Amino acid sequence: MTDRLDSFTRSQWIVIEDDAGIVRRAPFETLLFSIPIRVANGPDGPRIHRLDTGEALPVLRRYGYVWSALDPAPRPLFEVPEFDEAGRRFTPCGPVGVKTSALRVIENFLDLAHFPFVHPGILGTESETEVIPYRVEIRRDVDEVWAVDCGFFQPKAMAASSAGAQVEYRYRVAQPCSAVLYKTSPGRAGAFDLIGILVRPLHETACEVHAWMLMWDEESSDESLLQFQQEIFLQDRIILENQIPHLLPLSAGMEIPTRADATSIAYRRWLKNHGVIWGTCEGIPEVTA
Amino acid sequence: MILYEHVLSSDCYKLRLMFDLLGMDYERRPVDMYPGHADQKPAFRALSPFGRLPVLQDGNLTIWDAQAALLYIAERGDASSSWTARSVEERANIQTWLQVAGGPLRAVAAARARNLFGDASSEDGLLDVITIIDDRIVEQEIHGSEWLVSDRPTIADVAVFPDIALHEDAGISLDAYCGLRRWLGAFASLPGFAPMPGVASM
Repeated sequence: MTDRLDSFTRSQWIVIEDDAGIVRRAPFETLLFSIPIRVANGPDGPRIHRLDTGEALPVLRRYGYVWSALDPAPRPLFEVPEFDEAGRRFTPCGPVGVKTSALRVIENFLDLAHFPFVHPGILGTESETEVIPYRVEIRRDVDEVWAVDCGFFQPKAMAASSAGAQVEYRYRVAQPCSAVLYKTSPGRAGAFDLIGILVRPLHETACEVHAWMLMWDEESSDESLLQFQQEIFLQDRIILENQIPHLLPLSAGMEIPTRADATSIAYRRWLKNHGVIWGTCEGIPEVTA
Repeated sequence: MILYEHVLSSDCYKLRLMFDLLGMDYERRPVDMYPGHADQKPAFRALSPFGRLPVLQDGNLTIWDAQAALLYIAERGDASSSWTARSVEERANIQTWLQVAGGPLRAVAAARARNLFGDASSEDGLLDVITIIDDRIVEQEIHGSEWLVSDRPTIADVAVFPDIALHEDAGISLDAYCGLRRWLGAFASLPGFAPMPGVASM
């Protein structure tokens, strides 16, 4: 399996667990790209080792999470300056296992067109399914995929929403396995709430998804914020596990895209340009997975 | 009535279903079962001694068992007594399936929790309980009924439905269980039925 680990994937910081989860679970064993690892917590912070070679892996604490990487010198982690804004509320939603490629999870997260069908009454409604044309750009300075000017009518866009609203979205793929959504805040005019997903590949077609929220919301209880997000993610999960192939196709022709899929097309092209193999159909002659 | 619950719990779903099927109003109080494990903390255990969701409160009455709460909702809200026993024999049969829902069927809920949240648990008895329920449905069909106990849906069906309907989350295929698949479809056609995340369209 690990011979499919390309250098771009190896050099990424990957989420291990949120800070509270480390305190609660450590020491524990888990997987990172099919490699068994052990996560311990000591007075000087978390330590992570490969169980196959005994090698110590780099550890980073940022954005309320503990990160690690297979490469001893990973690329710098992406910047989210909103984490430094006083008054925002950070809610990690806890890991959820999904039996598909981490890249499929990111692609699904970027997809506006599925809202009315998978999240009816919450993120979309079957009477308003149109995806308004939006712009997709590769930001060369940070090497990220962005989709901007996305608009969609949503019956209940956020936990704090009291009525349906036309919501503006911006999507950002910050890493192959990390994406951030910026969405009109119902709690603060002119501001965006952030929802992110960080995905740790356990195997090529199994992963652990950590969703987080960073919002302007003083009204909602922690419980209702969490359950709002968990309900949405579990609606996606059953679709994701039934989507074939589980590996993400990067070559044209396997799946027919529509105009609403512009972000997905850009994401796949960006992965292909970086030579990403892990979690994709690349190098697999006949995909039956 | 007040329902302390979690949106992803199958035991909580069965009480929401009962309220929906009877067209009853109730108040939802979300509990941070995951990731906060608030159901294991002293404040919640004061309501529910085993730390289990859901908990139903009606005035001074607190019910911390899903099957007991299901029965209570049905007896309070169903003037026609269609969902509960109409005879001594029916009561015995309904009670049997409520016990299955609170006992062997928990293996399915545990398998689902492990898939979703990585909780360690045992798979003992997983397919046994599925086979036994499937056999029961097929036997009922031979006698002209599509429901677990009677010729009409009862709380026994409501008690068993969520864990079976969420089989994909638990990593269980129902391809070989035709009776269960027909029963799930019939249940999902009931007036007032509402799905939850993970319940595949039927």
